[in-house]
Order: sequence, then C-alpha cells, then structure tokens
Amino acid sequence: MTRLVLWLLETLLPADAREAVIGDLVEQYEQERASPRLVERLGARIHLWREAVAAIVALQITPDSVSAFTPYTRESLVQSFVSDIRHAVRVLARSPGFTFLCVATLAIAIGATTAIFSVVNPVLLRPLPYPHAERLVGIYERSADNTPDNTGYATYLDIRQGATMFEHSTVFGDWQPTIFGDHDAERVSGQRVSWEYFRTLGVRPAIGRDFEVADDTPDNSNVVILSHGLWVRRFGGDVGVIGKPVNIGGITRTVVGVMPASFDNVLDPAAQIWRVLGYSTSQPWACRTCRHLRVVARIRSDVSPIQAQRQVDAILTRVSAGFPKEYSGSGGFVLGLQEQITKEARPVLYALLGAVALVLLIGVANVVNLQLARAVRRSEEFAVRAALGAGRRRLAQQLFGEGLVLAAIGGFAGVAVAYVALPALTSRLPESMPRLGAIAVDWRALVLVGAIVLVASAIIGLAPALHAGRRRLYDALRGSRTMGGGQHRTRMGIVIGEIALALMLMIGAALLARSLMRLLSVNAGFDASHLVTMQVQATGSRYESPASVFANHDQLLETVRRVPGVVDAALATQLPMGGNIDRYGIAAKDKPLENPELAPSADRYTVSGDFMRLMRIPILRGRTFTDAEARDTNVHLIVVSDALAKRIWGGEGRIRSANTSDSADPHVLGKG
Amino acid sequence: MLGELEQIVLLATLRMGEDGYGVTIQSAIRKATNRDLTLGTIHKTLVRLEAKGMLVSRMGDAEPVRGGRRKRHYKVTPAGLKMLRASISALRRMASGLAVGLET
Repeated sequence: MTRLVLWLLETLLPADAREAVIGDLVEQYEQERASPRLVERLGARIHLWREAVAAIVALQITPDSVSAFTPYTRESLVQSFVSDIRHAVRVLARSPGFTFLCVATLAIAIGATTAIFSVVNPVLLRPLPYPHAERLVGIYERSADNTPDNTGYATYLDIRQGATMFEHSTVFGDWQPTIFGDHDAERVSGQRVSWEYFRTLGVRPAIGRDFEVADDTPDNSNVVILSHGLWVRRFGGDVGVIGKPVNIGGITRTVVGVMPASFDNVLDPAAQIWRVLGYSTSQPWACRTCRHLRVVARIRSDVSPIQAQRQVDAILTRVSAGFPKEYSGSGGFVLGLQEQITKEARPVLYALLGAVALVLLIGVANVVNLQLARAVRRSEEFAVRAALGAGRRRLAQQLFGEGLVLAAIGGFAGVAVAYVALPALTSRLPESMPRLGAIAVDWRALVLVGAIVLVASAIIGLAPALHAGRRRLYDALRGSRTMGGGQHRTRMGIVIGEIALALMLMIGAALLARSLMRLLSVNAGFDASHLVTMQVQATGSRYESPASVFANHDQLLETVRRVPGVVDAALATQLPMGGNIDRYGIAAKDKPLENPELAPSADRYTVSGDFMRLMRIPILRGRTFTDAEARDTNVHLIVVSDALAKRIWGGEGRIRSANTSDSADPHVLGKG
Repeated sequence: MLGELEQIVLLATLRMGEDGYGVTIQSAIRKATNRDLTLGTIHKTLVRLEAKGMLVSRMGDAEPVRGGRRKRHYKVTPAGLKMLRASISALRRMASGLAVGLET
C-alpha cells in the first residue's frame, strides 16, 4: 500500500518539490511506526494517506515560484494537463469560426449516434425488464407448416400439467373492454390473463394485490388490475380505487390492484387493464382448436432451455396424438421471449447502427481535416515548444489535450442534441416497435459518448502531430512554408474517404426509399386512398339482441355519412392487413377433409352490406350481399377471395357451398 | 503584514536555527501551538516565503529512513527576520494597554 502512495506522490507532485516533500512524509511515517505508543503505530498508514492527499492538492498550484517559468521537464502530470487545457481553450477561443464548425459537426455526429444507440439499446443490448429475463420463454404449438402457432385453453392445461420444468406459466389473450364512467365511455386495450401472469414475469402490483388462483374461475373472474397510467388518468391516482366497483362493458368488476409505473409490459405495451381469464374446459371457447391464446413460462433455474424444449415437445406430441382431429402438426416450440419480441426489429436496428457509425466517421474525419488545415499555421509554435524542452511525448500530450477539449465540447453538444431529438424520433417509430417505452438517453448512452469523445480526441488531437514531427523543426524555424506537400495529400485522402462514406449512406437511403415506395404501391386488391378507420363497439345489456345491434350500426353509419367530406361508410370486424386475426378453417362441403384442422385457413371479415363497394373491391363472379340479406340472421352468405376459391375448388369456376369451422352451411355468393 | 500561517511557520523555522526542515518545523509547531498542520501546507508556505525572500533553502543529506531522499533545509533571511520583528511588535502594540490582560 505504501508503494501505491509513493507512486502517486512521485507522479503527481511537481518536480522541484518532489524529493524534499516525499522524504519528509516517509520520515514522518517511519517515526510513527517506531513510536512507543500503540495509537500512533496503528494510525501511521492512514496518516500517511491523508498527508499524501493533502500534499498533492496543496502543491499543485505553486505560487509564483522561484523560477518564473516552469520548464516542461519539471512539471507534474496534473500541472501539465491543466496548462494544456487552459491553452487549448485560449487557442479555440481565438478562432471562433473554426471552433464552431468543429463543435457543430461533432454535435450532429455524436448526437445522431447517441440517439440511435438509445433506440437500439433496449432491444439489442438490454435484457427484458424482469428478474432473470433469460428464463422467460414463449411456448407455441407446431403447426403443419412447421411454424409456431397460438394455443387453445385445453391444450394449455395439458402443458401446465406435464411441464415440471417450468416454475410458472401463464396463458393470456387480448381484451378490448369499454370502461363506462359517469359521463363517458372509453375503449381501452387490455389483456385477459391467467392468475399467474404477473408472477411469471416476476412483477407485483404496486398497490392492492395480485390475482390469485381463486380468482381464475368462471364465477369469480370479475376482478381487474389497472396499469399505472390508467389509474392516474381515469381514477385520479386515488388509492381508494382498490375494492371499488367499475363498470366495464356493462358488467361490474372490482379493482384489486394497480401496477407500478415502472412496469413495462413487453407482451402487449398498449395494455392498460388486466382481468383474469376465468376459463374452464366446459366453456366452448376453451376448446383445443380455439387458438387465440399465447403461453409464456419461466424455466426453472436448474433446467436448460433444451431440456424444456424436449419436455414441451413430448407433451404436445402426446396431446396431438390423442386428439388427431384437432391439431395440424405435432410437438411445440419453446422460444426465448426476448428473442421473440425483438426478432423482427433486429435487422433494421443493426442497419441503423451501421449507418450512424458511418455518420460518426464522416463527422470525425471532417474535424480532423479542419485540424490538419490549421496545423500548418501552428508549426512555429510547436517548434518553439520543442526548443524549450518539450519532448515528443509532451507535445503529443498537449495535442491530445486540445483534441480532448474540442471533443468534449462536441460531446456535450451531442448529448444535448440527442436529448432534444430523441422524443421527436420516438414519436415517429411504429407502435409495434419493441421496448418503445424503454428508449431514453441513459447512463449507457453517456458512457458510449465518453468513449467516443476519448477516441475522437486522440484522433483529432494527434492527427496534426503526425505531421508536426521534430524533423520539421528546422524548416519551421526558418519560416519555410513548403511542408504542405505531404499534408496536402493526406487531407485530400481524407476528403475522398468522406465522400465515399457519404455516397454509401446516400445509396443505402435511396434503396430504402425505393423499397418503401414499392411497398406502398402494391395492389392489395382494394383501394386504400382517402380511407379513415376507427374502432367502435356496441357492448353491454343494451345490445343483447341483433336488432338493437343493427339499429346501432345503422345510426352510426348514417351519422358518419352526414359528416361533411365523407362519401361513404361501412363496418367490418377487421381491416385488411390490419394484424387482427380472425381466422377460420374453410372447406368445400362436397370435399370434406379427414382432419378438419388441415383445412386452409382464411381471414374472416364480417362486414356491412356496402363494404365491398366502399373498399372498391371488384367482384369477379356472382354478387355481394344486399342489406336485407346482411340483417337476416338465418341466412349465412359469404364472399370468398379469388385465391381461396382456387385453393378449395381448383379452377372449376362454379360457385358452391362450403363449411367453415364455426357455422354450418354458408352459401358462397360471390368471388372477389 | 505577514499572514497568520506564514508567521507561525517563520517562527518555527527560526526556532530550528540553521537546520529546520519539513518534519522538524511541523513538530515544533505542534509542540508550541497544539495544531497539526499537514506537511503539504507547511511546504507550500515555505515555498511561498522563499519566493518572497524571507527564507532561503539548501539541499541537505540523504538518509536511509527517508528512502534515500535528501532534505531541504530552510533558514530565515535577514529580510525575513525584519518582517517577523515588525509583525510581532505590531501585535504587541495592538495588545498593550487593553484591560483584558493580554500582556504576556
């Protein structure tokens, strides 16, 4: 330990004070250690440290000392560093144009890098915000085409029973309730979850209680938990909301808990309210083929993912063998949750990182070039310094200090740019972007900026040094200006490099833009121009009968049609390419299949009569339904797409009847 | 006028005669005033006083107990002595005649 102190003292004290002061400190230390008093002996080491720190601090700022100028060779590290910084600031202040240009360039480059890093960070680098998130997995069935598929409740029960390798598991689905207040009704996004949902993730409500096993039965399932945001927004952040009844969808439910503000629900970031699933196998929608639920589980700490995968495979293979008509494939998937959630976004984010790295390179290269241009004029200064005794290392240290000041100012400005730009950037990202809520300029981003600043300082500062070697001394002192030659080539080289990088970026951007344009102009079979959509719901006891629902729809459509600027209006249960999956198997009535699960699945749209006309979907054959037919609950009519018709009936061209998996006997009316 | 710290250090150096250096000056101060000044403070003051011409220093012998490092000995110069006298008599004059018994 004493060696450490001595090393510090030798490095950090100015040379002329070194020997005497360190000698005194050592003498004092030895005296104390040899003292007859125990107190002094024990305290000697600490006393030495305190004295050392005091001496280092006290002797840095030497007064107008005996000699008017501290020669380079006699400065301490701290003294030389401080004087470099002061000098650098003076030099930069003398050429404000240059300084501003460099700082602005660095600010943009570093700011962009920090912002993109902050976007990418939660997805690529940070784990999910749950304890031991690496043990969270999604469990899926394997469908006939070997892709992961959602699960039905009955299947989940089988998995749960046999899955000894999991600590917790949970099954959940979407829920879109309408909350009725005193004066308004509001539709929110939510989830219906089994009672262990939050326990599986490893989080607990901040107020109130979590769901319990007793809640998860069909009779008791009217308990809900609120998100922090919903609690503050709709219930005023009042703690008394626990136990209060709330009218949701016409049914009175009780709030039992509120989640903490820090809870980041990665499985459905938009969800603001949770209720218990409350399924039981006696219910029709808890069937095996009702695949509207997802399963997430936490693997036990002593189990490897491969073992878990094997167990799930075994369970699902057994189950699908036992109920062959209800499964199209066999076995299952156990996929890491973090991977699943971030999978789609990864390539994009990597590309973004690559692009912004290029931007950073261009920015730094620009500043280096500016530095080199200026360095020519400073060669005399360096020559004088060298003559005064500044060795190569000392000169390099000074240049590094100058680079550091510039890079540090640029770094600060860059962080400020990132802070300002990040909210603007995030608001433009799609809502499906994973971990959207976790994007912020946090300490990791600042560490990155620090590292960039250090490396950039070295590059920016020392670049001129490569040209200010000592052999130029003689030339510089003679006032020669002819040393520009080699430097000129270097600077040209840097400019060429910058242009090349910038060109790469531009070509990449152009390609992306072209792909986007192509995507937007794909003919999807309908006309999406000038269309506005909104979600509506008729729930509750007022709308029990079909007649009342139809009346509501009529009123709705009429009101909307009367809005100035509206040409037409229609209703549909889902939007094309809207990501909302209402999918059913469909087979021709006269071509039954062995295993109904192997029937091709089609997205089902339940629509009002004028839907086809509104969307400008051409009818190739037959016709679409009339309004009267649409309201007749005894008549089941469907229109199928051309592609589906070809799949079911080949190219036969005649319109037949078909079976869908929930209603019998709809008649095919037309082809679109 | 001398600052308080400078005065103390000057006096201690005077007390040590020709051979005063960091450690001995520090212990002289501790004995007389019961104050524990760090060696850093003392050296800083010594350098300042030397810059003002009140002290003069020379390098002394190396000693094994100091890890083979030499000492820097300080001695009060005539100019320093003059400043000290002036400072102390100024203090005495200020303190004399006051009823609270500040006379030594």
